[in-house]
Amino acid sequence: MTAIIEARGLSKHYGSTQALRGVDLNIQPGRIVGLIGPNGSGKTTAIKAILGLAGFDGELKVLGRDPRTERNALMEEVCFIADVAVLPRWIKVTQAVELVAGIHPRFDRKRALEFLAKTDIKPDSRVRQLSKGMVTQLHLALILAIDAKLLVLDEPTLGLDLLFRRSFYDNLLNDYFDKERTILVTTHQVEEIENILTDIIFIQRGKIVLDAAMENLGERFMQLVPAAGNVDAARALKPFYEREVFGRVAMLYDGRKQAELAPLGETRAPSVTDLFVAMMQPAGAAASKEAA
Amino acid sequence: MNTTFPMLIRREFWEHKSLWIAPLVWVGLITLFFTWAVIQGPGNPHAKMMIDAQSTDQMSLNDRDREEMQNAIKLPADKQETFFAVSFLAIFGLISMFMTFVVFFYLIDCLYTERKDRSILFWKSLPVSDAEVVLSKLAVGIIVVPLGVILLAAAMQFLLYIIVWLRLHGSVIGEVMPDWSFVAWLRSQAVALGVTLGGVLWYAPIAAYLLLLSTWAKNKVFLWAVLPPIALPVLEKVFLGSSHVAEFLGRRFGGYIQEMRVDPSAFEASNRGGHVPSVSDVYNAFHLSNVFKTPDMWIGVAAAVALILVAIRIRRFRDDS
Repeated sequence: MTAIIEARGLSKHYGSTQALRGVDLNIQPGRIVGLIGPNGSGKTTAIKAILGLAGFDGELKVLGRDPRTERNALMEEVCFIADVAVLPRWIKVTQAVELVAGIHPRFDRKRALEFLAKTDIKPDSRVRQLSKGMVTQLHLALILAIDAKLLVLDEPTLGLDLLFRRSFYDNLLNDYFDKERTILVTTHQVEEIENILTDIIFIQRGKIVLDAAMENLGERFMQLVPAAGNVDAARALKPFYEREVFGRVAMLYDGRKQAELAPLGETRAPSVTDLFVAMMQPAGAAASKEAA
Repeated sequence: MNTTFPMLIRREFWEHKSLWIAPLVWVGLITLFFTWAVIQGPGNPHAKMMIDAQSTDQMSLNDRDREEMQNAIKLPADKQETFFAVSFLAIFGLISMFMTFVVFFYLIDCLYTERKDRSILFWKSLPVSDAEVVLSKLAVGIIVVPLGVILLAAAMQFLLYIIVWLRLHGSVIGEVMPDWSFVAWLRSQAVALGVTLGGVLWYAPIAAYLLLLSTWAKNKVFLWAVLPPIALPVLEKVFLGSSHVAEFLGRRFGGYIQEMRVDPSAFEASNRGGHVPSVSDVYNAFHLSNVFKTPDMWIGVAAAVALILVAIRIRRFRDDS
């Protein structure tokens, strides 16, 4: 199958700041991919390159097209919600629906109206009268009604309360996602979306530090809390990260079998949040701990 | 059918309500003032009495009045049309000049607000090219609004005639008032259309320049639009002693009127002898074809095209992060 997004050596610098340093991506159809990294890690720069909003060096194909030169055709099949891509404050709900209907060839007005009917949004309201959560709901209603191949979400729920965040992702899964579609979502709130992702990509200082399918995480990564006498033996197996929890040490391993670790203490599959924290440590922190 | 461009045009009128509210308010004010003036009649009691007179007996006509009335009644159709042409063009001019200001503010604002309210990424998430967006805004400023002005002026011309007719109806003066001339009305729309076309092309580089500022300026677009044309000639004069910039700007702003070589004598009506210029004198006073023959016109159009291309590029590749 052809990749939805394929990047090789994707780089971008702003002046002397290197925002992306040779990123490789291969995102297949039907996946929900989380692009996760701390602020300033290059997430948004990568998204901008994918959407053709900013130039870049290296190779990048989205739906087989070059975002730099074929942006208009691309945007018929790619949808985008970002914390920064706010709906214009002057527009009325009805106008927004009419506008997208008039412009987007793949927009289904009926679907958008059905979705809006389930919310508290009044059709006559202007965006400036809506709460931030409602604006996101309206944006989501517009996007859900577009038959797109790729949906890009850049911190879509930033600043929303828990109820809106939860229903945002629920709606996305129930009303939108199917095997034909691909969702790329960036966030720094990992715990919020780890249950819906099929793949995770960790990005740090413009580099990909992890790119894995969720179903493989359990096999690849293992967390061990060694019994009191086994700490040195556990360290000898070269964990890439360790931290202290309630006076005991928890270690994370990449590529160790459970059978190997189980005799030394309690093992379990680490959560995405555990992995995120471990991998986003400042470079060298893990190594220095090892030396200590 | 491609509905994108019409939708983009409609969207401008949703966002920039002043484009249609301002002219309606302006026209409303003109109508109110005009109606008040017509009802009030002239301040001079004699003239007022003349206007209100139901029959010639009520008019204390002196010889000169009588002669003028005779002249008015005898006015040939061609000269009656002059009455329409002059008043129609005046109404058109009043609305056009006002809308020039409205369009100026629209053009400096339209590409700036989408960055200011951060909705630009929403617009960019739709399958619309930057060229379509910029051209839709240009089209609003130099095609849609000017055509709207002509339509509005045409309606106003009819409305104001009706108001005068109602006021004078039944009076003696009312009888010598020229009948509504559909032909005169149509013909003056044609003149308005020609003047508009020439003006739009002549001032297109200014419109394009304003759009460019609108998509380029980080803030204070108004100052960017207004300050350089004022400051640069002054600075040039002070530091270089020359005035090339002033000449250049003067030519661009005033050149349209200059090139039309409007002949003011064509409008001179004189009381003495009841001379009224013929309508062809009025229309021929505008040498519109001259404007189209001036190289400056087409240099300006080429400059407008170049400026628009730059504006499209800036919007396409601008990255504010």
